[in-house]
Amino acid sequence: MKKLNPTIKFFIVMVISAFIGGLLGGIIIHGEDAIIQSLINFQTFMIDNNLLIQLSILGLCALLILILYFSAKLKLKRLEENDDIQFDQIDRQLGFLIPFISVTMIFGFCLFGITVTNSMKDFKLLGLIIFLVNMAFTLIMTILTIKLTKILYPNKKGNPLDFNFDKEWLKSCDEAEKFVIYKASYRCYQLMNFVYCGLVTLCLLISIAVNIGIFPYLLIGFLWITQTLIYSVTANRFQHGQLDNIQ
Amino acid sequence: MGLENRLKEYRARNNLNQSDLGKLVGASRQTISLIERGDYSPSVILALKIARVFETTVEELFLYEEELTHEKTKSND
Repeated sequence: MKKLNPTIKFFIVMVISAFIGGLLGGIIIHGEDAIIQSLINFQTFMIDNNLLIQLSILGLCALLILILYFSAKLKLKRLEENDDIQFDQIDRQLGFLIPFISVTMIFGFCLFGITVTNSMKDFKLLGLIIFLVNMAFTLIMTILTIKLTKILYPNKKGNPLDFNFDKEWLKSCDEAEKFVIYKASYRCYQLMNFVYCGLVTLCLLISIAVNIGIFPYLLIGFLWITQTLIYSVTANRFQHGQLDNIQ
Repeated sequence: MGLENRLKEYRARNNLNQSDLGKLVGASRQTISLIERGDYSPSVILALKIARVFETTVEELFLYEEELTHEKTKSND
């Protein structure tokens, strides 16, 4: 099949997007009442059950983290020197565990925010306790997981409680590990541009039915601009030798 | 990526696992694995270090795709 000219492809995508946007807008206008009602129901459910939601989501995450951690620890204990397959398995498990702990911490922040802004005084205190317990748990698990990773990779350096941890950790990575980090970071940057664009579209669509105020737009705009500027300024400074060598 | 290598073959010949080779060249086992799979092209320094361990040349261990095509055409002639 003949490849389409990128400019034509761009305009076709734009026209299709505009058509889908218009269609969704029309659907929202016609089903305005149902959408408003479902949004209100969702919000009421979240506010009424916020402590239960907070406890069950964070509890489930904590349980999964503990299972993954202890299973990795056990596998590491049994690891024989020449077993490359087992080594790979533990490496993958630890590679999943660290971001999962971070996601649990982010969940903790978001759910605490919902509890604090919408609950009564007694519930706020309980929400604060759950939040603090979750913070302590994720911090301890991060330290333990980093310790386990250091057993697997003795060349790795850095204390998670140190403010320079990321710098130290990156410094102790070899060239291919750094390459993986840079590649993943760039992919994250690329995908986040789509995520921000999608979020603005979602806000626009929801605002047809419900007044969501100006803060969602300001927040997304602020994050989007910050990310773009950090990327561009850092890339520029590296290119002109104003920052340490990437390696 | 256009870079093929014979690392696995040389490693087996010298009875070394990925961790051992990693230790000898100052890289992680993960890095050796990435190079072997062709997912990462090593720096000149690392390629030289690996070649030194196997007492061979970089060209013997790593083959650039253009080089491969050229060699294949020559052998067909």
